[in-house]
Amino acid sequence: MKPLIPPHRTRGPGKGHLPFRWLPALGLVTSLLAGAGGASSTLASPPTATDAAPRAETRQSPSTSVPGGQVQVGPGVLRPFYPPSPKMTRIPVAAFMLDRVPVTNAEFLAFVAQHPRWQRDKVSSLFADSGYLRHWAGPLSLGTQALPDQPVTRVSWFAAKAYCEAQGKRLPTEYEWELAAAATRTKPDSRNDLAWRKALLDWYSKPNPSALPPVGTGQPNYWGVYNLHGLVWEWVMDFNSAMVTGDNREDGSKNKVKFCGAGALAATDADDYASFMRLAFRSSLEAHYSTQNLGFRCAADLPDRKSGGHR
Amino acid sequence: MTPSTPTPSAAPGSRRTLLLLGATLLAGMAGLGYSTFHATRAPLAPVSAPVQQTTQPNPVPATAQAPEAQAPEAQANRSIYQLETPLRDQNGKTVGLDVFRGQPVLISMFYASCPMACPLLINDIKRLEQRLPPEVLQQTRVLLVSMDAERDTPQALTQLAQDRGLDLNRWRLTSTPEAQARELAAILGIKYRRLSDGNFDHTSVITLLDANGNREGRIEGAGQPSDALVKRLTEGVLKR
Repeated sequence: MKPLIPPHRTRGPGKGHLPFRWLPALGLVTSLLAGAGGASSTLASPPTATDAAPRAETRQSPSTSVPGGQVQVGPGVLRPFYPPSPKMTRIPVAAFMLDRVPVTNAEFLAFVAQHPRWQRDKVSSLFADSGYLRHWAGPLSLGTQALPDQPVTRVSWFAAKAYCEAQGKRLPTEYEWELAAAATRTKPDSRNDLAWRKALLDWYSKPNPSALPPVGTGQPNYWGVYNLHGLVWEWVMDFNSAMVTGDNREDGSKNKVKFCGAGALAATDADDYASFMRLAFRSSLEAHYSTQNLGFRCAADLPDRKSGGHR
Repeated sequence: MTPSTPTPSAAPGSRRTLLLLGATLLAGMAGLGYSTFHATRAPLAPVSAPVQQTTQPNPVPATAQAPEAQAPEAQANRSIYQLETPLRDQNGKTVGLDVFRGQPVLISMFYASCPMACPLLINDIKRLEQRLPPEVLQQTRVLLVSMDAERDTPQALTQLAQDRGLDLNRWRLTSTPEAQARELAAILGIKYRRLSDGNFDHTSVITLLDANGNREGRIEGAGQPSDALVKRLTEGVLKR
């Protein structure tokens, strides 16, 4: 029977890329015009680009040069630039463990080999769209477009979640990920470091590299975590807590017909465009989506706490 | 691209306006449902030469691939009952997500202490039910799953059912642990966030499931037309 109304969006991102190259430029110009900090006429270099030796030529065996394992992040207080409600400008985040680097192609291959239901020719279309692991040469082989130490991409939220659970871990929550990502190389909270935040915008303004670099390149941040910026977008456990509506009546308050809750998506001082990009991106996702710039890493509770995730 | 020389600081009002313009533009695109965010980005280090791959640590030998074995049945199964979400209903009884398997189901998520949108949601479901022929209504089930397992105990759910005059022969009010609630919301395309005051920001979505748990249609937002779901329910039931 022909559907009377369009079914809930099932098309994967294989159909139709949105050319976003001009959008960061708009955002950059917007934030500059908005006087986002009286910067000089040149952006500061990204902290990682100027002093990181290219790791490619030092690799002998791919897997041994990738920083592995987890490090503790936090405890800390997240101060989001886009608080979920006016009362939530300071969100305490308990300490947790976080993978130092995103999950790689090699690691994900080992996972699907042991869990056939997540192989791309067997996975339920409920849990992964048609682009799932499309860049691999086969369901159980990587090929030249998916190098072992590159971050795995084209994975759905369900697949990422299953991977982490198979390791006895979980996905990080949005607050956990953002707390980790708020750190510069030397400080846990970049909120007052305008130059650092503006440097992140370089990521959006440069063209794609022809191939994703391997994980673990660049410098770790304050917590010892790599690649939270500048490599791939990353799934979080509660990606669907992000709600951004196109209807910005009443100075940014959310559409009350669509959303319960009267919180307004109001920006605080010294706004952070990169934060907003992540928020908007997460709000556009659905759990079965896979896309070429979206990967993930795993988190875990500290050993002495029960599992169950954080808020 | 070369950044333009920044102008002197704008007044706060126009800065807010400019930011919201950018936000609206971006949010509008997100809302249009573009599912690929093709961000441009910089490599972290100059890539001077293609990365050479020495050994590929495949756990499975990459022999010549036979034509990929398809598993059409597994792949084509789109029933949300594959989630196997455990639910605790208003009587404290543990049931599966497929508690109403065999019947068409209107399913949504809510929380009992919700001040506005959830009462509207329940009203919308009731109004939809009123439009159904009696023989269709008798077959229709309503499954509500709370996103607030902590507070929505069986007692709280029973109280809500009484307060709203719900027909518990056909309605089931349930809760499920946090991780399962998040997963169910992900399947149903429902967004929610717990706020510091214990309330939730959340979307209101009513999804129709067929007898096997396949999603047949949905209504998003309060007070939206229910014609399509009414028609599909009616046709679906009367054809059996």
